[in-house]
Amino acid sequence: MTPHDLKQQAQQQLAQQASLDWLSLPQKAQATFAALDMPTRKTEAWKYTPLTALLNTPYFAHTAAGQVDESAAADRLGQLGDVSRLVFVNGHLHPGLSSYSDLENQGIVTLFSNANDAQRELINAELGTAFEPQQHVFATLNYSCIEDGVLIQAPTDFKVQQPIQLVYLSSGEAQPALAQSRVLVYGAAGSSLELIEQYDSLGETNVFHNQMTEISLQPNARLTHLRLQVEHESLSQVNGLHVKLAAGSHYEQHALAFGSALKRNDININFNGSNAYCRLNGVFLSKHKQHIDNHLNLEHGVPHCNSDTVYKGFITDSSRAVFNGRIHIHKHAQKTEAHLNNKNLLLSKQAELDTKPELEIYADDVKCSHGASIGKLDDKSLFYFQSRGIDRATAEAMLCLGFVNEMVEQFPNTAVIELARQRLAEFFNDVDQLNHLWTLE
Amino acid sequence: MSKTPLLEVKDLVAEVDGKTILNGISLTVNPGEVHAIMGPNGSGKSTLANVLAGRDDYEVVSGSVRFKGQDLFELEPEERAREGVFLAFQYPVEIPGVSNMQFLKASVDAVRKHRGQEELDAPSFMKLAREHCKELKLKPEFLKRGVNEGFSGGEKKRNEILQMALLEPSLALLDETDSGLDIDALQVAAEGVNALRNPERSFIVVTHYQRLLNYIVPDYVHVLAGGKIVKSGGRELALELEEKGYSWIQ
Amino acid sequence: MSDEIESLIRREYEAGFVTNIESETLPPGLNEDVIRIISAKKNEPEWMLQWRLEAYRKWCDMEAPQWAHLQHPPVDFNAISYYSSPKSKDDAPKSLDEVDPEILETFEKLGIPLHERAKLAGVAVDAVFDSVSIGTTYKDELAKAGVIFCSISEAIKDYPDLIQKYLGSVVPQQDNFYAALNSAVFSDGSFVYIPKNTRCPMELSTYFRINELNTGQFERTLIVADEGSYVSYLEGCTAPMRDENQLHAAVVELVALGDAEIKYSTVQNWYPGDENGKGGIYNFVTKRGVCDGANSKISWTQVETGSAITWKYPSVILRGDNSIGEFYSVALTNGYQQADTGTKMIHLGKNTKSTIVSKGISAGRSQNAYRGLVRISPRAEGARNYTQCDSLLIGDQCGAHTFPYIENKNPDAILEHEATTSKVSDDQLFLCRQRGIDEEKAVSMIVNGFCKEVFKELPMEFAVEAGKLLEVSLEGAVG
Repeated sequence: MTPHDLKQQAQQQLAQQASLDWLSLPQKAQATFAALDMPTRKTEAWKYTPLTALLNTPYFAHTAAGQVDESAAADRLGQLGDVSRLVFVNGHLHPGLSSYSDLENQGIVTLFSNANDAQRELINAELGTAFEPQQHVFATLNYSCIEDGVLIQAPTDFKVQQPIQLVYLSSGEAQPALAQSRVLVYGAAGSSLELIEQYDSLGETNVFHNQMTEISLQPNARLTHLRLQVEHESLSQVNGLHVKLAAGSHYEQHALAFGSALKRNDININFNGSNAYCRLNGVFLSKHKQHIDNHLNLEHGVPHCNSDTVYKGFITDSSRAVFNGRIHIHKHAQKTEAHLNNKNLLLSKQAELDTKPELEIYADDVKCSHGASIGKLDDKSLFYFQSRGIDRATAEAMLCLGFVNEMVEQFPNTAVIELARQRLAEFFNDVDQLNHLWTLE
Repeated sequence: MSKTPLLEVKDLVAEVDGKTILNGISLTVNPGEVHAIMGPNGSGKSTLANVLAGRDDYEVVSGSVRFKGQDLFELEPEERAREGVFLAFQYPVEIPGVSNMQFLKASVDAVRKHRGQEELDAPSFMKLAREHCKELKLKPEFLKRGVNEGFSGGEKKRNEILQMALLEPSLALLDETDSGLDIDALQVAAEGVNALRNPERSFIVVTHYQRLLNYIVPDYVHVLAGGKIVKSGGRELALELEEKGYSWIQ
Repeated sequence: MSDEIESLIRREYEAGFVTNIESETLPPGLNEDVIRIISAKKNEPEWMLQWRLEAYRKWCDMEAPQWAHLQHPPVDFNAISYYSSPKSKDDAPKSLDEVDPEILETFEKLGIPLHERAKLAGVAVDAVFDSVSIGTTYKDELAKAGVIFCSISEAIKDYPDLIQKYLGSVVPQQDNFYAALNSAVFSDGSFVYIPKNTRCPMELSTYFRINELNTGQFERTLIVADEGSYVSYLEGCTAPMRDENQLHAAVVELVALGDAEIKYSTVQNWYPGDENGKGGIYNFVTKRGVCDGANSKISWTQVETGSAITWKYPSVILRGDNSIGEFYSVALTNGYQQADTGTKMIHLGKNTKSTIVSKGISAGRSQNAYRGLVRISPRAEGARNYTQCDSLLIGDQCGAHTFPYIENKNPDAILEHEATTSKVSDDQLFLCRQRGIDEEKAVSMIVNGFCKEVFKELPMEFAVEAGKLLEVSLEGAVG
């Protein structure tokens, strides 16, 4: 029988492809994936994100990277200075574009396929543990076949000086292709690391990128995580990011994401030890007929942990954006302080925004809040610009950019801010006359 | 020597949400003059400044305003600004994410272009802005921050004066520039304004209290009550008002 | 401290007595024959019977909703009796004089005197006892103003045109599982019609009382405010203490035509169950209003302190331009109570405005959820919504949850949602105690303050009652 949908195709193909033989996870994941139903409109977590087109496409899973124009690819990487870089093209590591031998030699970056016994043990112990498989069918799909992966390991009490840049490039394939990659980040006790994820494209693409990242921070470890999802709008992507935070650990994320044919981000933060802290700063933009869905879930499972989440949305044209931010305070998680805010700018009559901040609280000695707002550009601000001689169109453009920039300028890495601004200029290029405004200091 | 008036307001009636706020104001301002508009709360003095700047919350019902001989109400707010009308806001709005520098340059570029002047290149603009900052005792980092974002009351008002200095208007409307300022901040702001006084530039200073007029000395004082100018006079009128209170007028 | 809380979680349910009267009750179970009997007993016209049967058939194909944050064993719909009425000489008493004195006494005990001497000043009351309306006060005064206020059974007979036009126009038969059940078996309820340009001369009120064992109560309320009219309506509910869970599945429909205003206030104090979570009313209620005409307004105010389970979302469909929807809610849960309540504001017309203020208080081992939907349609230019949801937790065994759905398709709309969760702060408590106020009183004061924004929306008499009710419901919640 010729598979005619994503699930059948994946099941048929992935069962034949070889996973690393020392990994226990793929078999379990295959069974879970087989047993789970794919989400429908009635699945609460997918209420606003129709998957019909995606699920009805038999994406083909290639076993190796295809050809790629290396100089075009190199142009997309940005000038981030002294970084270790791993570049994936349609889910497969591209050695020619990557450079990480220093960190490889130090045992900080290791491909699963090169893992030593201790690392294999660590991977077997950690991979697939930061989330509930029943809730994340695409994660089980990703783990159904693990031919390779990347382990990033920050050693105990060690500050990794060089940021690690992970670049996921997507390009066109002969037929709709399934790209799957996976990264496990393990921050040992007292370690410190900066991770830069860049999701980018080489022109139009028919790829479905199903990405998994798991992060485990041990006591007092710190991770600064920058994330640019600035791919071509033809891309489909489901992106799972699952974080475990041990006592005293510190996780800070700054994200910029553009909509695409389909983009779904699941960010799942688990507080497993007290006095851990998480900050999520994000801005998402959608235009044309793009779709972007941000699902944030903060599981406060233990006392004395704080989280601060601010997400802003910019939605225009006929695009659709979804925000779902859930704070879940478990019964014994006393003395939690958790705040979440989602502010949106909706600029077009054809656009739609659905936002759902949620609080689920089972402990009393907590301070929690959430807020959500949707609006247009502020009249008072527009008048202020006009009263200074700036015409309305420019004023609107500057306010839009300011709305986005307020988040971007907080990125703790100026080279990444620069790269983000370049991509924003591309994004705004066909929205309005916004381009030149970025150039001013 | 008779001058052509810079601003001529005739029988101006304006309302907000159907409520009449200005009820027949007439006022003539010649180049180089400083007029103070005083009045109790709710008398309409801020409305006058905002109507002249073109805020669309206010509806002009009747009357006319000519600025440099042209009908002011024909112009959009930004066109008025480019022609030389400047409003120093009572409550300057915060605009996070847009840096003060970005904002100022866009503004100065627009106004200069309108006047047929060349746009300033980024370095010379920066130099100019920094100089003005120094005069107003503002640190240079001030320019990199978001427009009015997290500014203190005094910083916001000084930012307004900074903009005025850069835009070189012919008519400056100061809307309760003294409100919320302590005496030191008030002096700095007033010095900034006085430095800009010249024979061509006129000011309308809207204030509730006399004390600002100790620093920005007006040529004329008008008292507004119930949407009308009920009394006009020289500088001494302000002092008299301070002594006797607004009830004296009403 | 938590042991103290444990030992203190005890509360008095003052309305928990049973009235001993003879009644006529159908045997438990539901089928088409039961519906025919209900309809026949009420001498209903054929169209009404057919409407009920239609609803019943739809209901048979539906399933009970599972999405709420509620846990309870499935309701056995065949263990419930769908009709019970006090047995009196005649099926419907002709006037209040004919009502069984025991029943009148019941209402008097509840603070709702019905007889002429003592009836509530300025409030017309329709009293519903189990399945039947037993009388309406101030009928003559209302008739003078042209206001129709009667039981829905009477209205079906006397005003068939209005009923046929509006019944099910806001909440269709198949709207949801419980609404379908109600449409099939509703026994009684109130009907209000306010004529054009009429300000209803007094507050209207319905008081619901479940007395009989193993009966469900399925009342149906329909209020139509014609153009330019105004009415304020109050609803109160109590039930005896019983070990079994009893079902209450009501439907309330409000229709506000152009420039009309309806203010609907509820103080819900159904029996919540005992301190071990045994017994209590399952309250599955569908309440919805439509602002049909321009400049109309519907305002829901609810104080929910009773019921083992509360599932209700008084909503407003803002169809008319410039129409206004409001929802003010206090939901207090204690013991093992569970509440999943909130509202839906559906903005269809231009410049429509909605305000949502929800105050949830959880104590004991209860679970209290706000669930709301604000939807802005593409043609709702200038729509505004402001939502504020605050939760207060008392004790560490309870839960407070907020699930707002905000859907916007119009760039000209402005929506703001804010929610906070906190506990009664130690500082606040200490201040009160330092000034000599005992802890329980202090908490009650703080909770009252927390609810103030909502209480001020209630008619005066109810506001006082609501405050007291809160105090009683909180008894034993503090350690």
